[in-house]
Amino acid sequence: MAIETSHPPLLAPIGGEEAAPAGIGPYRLALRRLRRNKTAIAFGALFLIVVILCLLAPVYANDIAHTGPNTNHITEVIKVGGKSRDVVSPDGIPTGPTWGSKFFFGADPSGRDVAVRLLYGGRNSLEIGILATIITIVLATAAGVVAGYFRGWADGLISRTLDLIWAYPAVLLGVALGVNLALGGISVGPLHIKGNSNWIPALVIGVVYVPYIARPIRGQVLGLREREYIDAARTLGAGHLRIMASEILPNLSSTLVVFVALQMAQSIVLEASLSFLGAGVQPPNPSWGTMISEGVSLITAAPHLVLVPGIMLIVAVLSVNVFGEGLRAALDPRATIRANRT
Amino acid sequence: MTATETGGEAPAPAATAPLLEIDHLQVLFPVRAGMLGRTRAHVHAVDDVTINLTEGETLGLVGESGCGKTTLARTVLRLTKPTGGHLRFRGNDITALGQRDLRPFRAEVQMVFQDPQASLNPRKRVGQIISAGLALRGMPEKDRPARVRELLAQVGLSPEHVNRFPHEFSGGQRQRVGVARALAAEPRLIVLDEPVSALDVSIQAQVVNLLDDLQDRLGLSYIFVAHDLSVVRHVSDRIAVMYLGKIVEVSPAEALYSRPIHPYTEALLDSVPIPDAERARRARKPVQGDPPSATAPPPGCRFAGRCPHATDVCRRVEPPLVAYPGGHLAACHHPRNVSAEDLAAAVISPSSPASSGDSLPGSEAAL
Repeated sequence: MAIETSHPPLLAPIGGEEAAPAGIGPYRLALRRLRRNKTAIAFGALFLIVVILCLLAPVYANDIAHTGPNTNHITEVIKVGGKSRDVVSPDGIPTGPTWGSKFFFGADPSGRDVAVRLLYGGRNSLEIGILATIITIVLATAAGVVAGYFRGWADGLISRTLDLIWAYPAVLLGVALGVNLALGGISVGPLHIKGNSNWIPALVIGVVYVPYIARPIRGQVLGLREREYIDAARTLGAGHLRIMASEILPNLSSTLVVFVALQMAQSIVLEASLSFLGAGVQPPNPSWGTMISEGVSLITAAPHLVLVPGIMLIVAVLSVNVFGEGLRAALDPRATIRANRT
Repeated sequence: MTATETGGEAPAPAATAPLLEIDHLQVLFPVRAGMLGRTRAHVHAVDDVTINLTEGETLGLVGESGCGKTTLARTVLRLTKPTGGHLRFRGNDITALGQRDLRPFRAEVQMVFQDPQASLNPRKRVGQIISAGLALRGMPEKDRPARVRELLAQVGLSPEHVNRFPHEFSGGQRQRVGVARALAAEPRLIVLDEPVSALDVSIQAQVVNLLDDLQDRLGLSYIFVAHDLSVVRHVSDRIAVMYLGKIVEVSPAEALYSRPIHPYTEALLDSVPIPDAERARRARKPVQGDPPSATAPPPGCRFAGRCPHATDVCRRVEPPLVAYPGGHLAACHHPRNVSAEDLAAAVISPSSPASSGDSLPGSEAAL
């Protein structure tokens, strides 16, 4: 019955090479590729520096600038290079950068330290960006996996609901929701979120971006569910939940990691936009968006009010974006992950 | 055995109870169209198929692409829900069981897939992949690593490979992992869905021999799906030929090659490549044309449109499966390679599709 062939003894290992006990997994391969991408690593480090600086805001405020983010110094006089200078001149123009310990980046029209506000504002901006990204990714993954895996009416319900959100421009929807919720806050049962909490913009941004992530994930799940290893799992008695969690989700991980990085940049930008329009972080709390918004009217007389938070915003968004692209190239060399942006 | 009323059973002692009974099984896939997704037609993937499998037997299942052999294999595993008929495993009806009730059955019947690349989750280590079957059998977690190593050795892989990922293996090695995963559940029946057609020819023989050895040692039963007759010949005890959702011929393996009864089987045999150029030049009549649509199969014999021997009756009356001596069944009004005695001893098999006619070949009505 056996086919005539030189047929190896059954128990001998095929393939020969011994040892090498730990296999080289997809992640390790990706990490190797990422490490070769010096640009991505450099920009990733830059983003990390921004994050660390913002986290150190209280240290800077207490030990170097000796002032808080919301403390007014409007009537005070400072010495710069031996000469006295009003923090805010009588006609309302705040001082520019002193490059000293106090008012390093100058003051704002209320006599507050721009550098201190920049770091505290960064904390808010990054916190909202990260929270919003987590909300988006978690909701979008759940929606995309369920819709793509079950198809049928579940898919119809989820996809049409997402279309409803998708039909509005993200900024417009964000402003509408943000303004409304900032006024009254949210009360769900015993849970109450105050109008000036960072959770409001984080929730708004998180929800607004769900369809943009859920769609490509759903598409990928539609492909994954037809793979033979899903059938193999079913013949081994795995239920739907088990298949989604242990067969499909691990195969989405590269996509999700890339989306987290790219979505972070998107969320930070939207936070800035909403705050600029008064629908995000509520004054007097700082954020990069509110700082730009407060400085716009003085853009010619005191350009540092717009430039300083603006440049910081660009650095943060650019660095996380370039790093995200590097991650994408490393995790997905064949470019199968498709983000659907408008 | 007098090869009379035994239908699709093996030419084994009649005392052996069938392991698996496929009883008038039907699988229709709805074809949806339009905005509302209304069902416009059905694809007749498996249409009234009856065949039994005894313990320790290998049943070869052949036919061209789209004939329903893979659907039949998947339905046996309940990966596809049958729309009609019954599936019985060791006498228990599993046709309508829900996923939870299927679990005991799941361990008994496993599958090895066609594409070893697609059938192993690229994110999992080989050890994790194989352990799934052990978990299904309820083996405690601490005992699993040792058993995984045993299984790897059993399929000819090094136990050192437990922590590797599928992409670190060659095609043949991956298929061995697939076999180990199936074995982990300690099944009685393994459905092999073209297990070697994605492999190099040299590797094919190795994997086929591995399957053969495992069968001898573990007493497994196989359903071996293939699209050509050359591979199944060596492994099968019995071979069923499918055409457009129906079984057209079932016979002990050697008899099918030496004495094909159905013209389609004959044509399939003619399309097996022959390495000898001299023999290859001789008259061969491989199948011409394409099979008819499976959404609207023709009345009568489904092969009639491509059959060189078709007559009027073939286009009108669906031929019943007729049992000839020697456990050889064929559904044809104009059987090939049968003697007058064979015809005289022939009876209509109970495995015939319900829609088929009731006239024996050679009788008045069939002419």
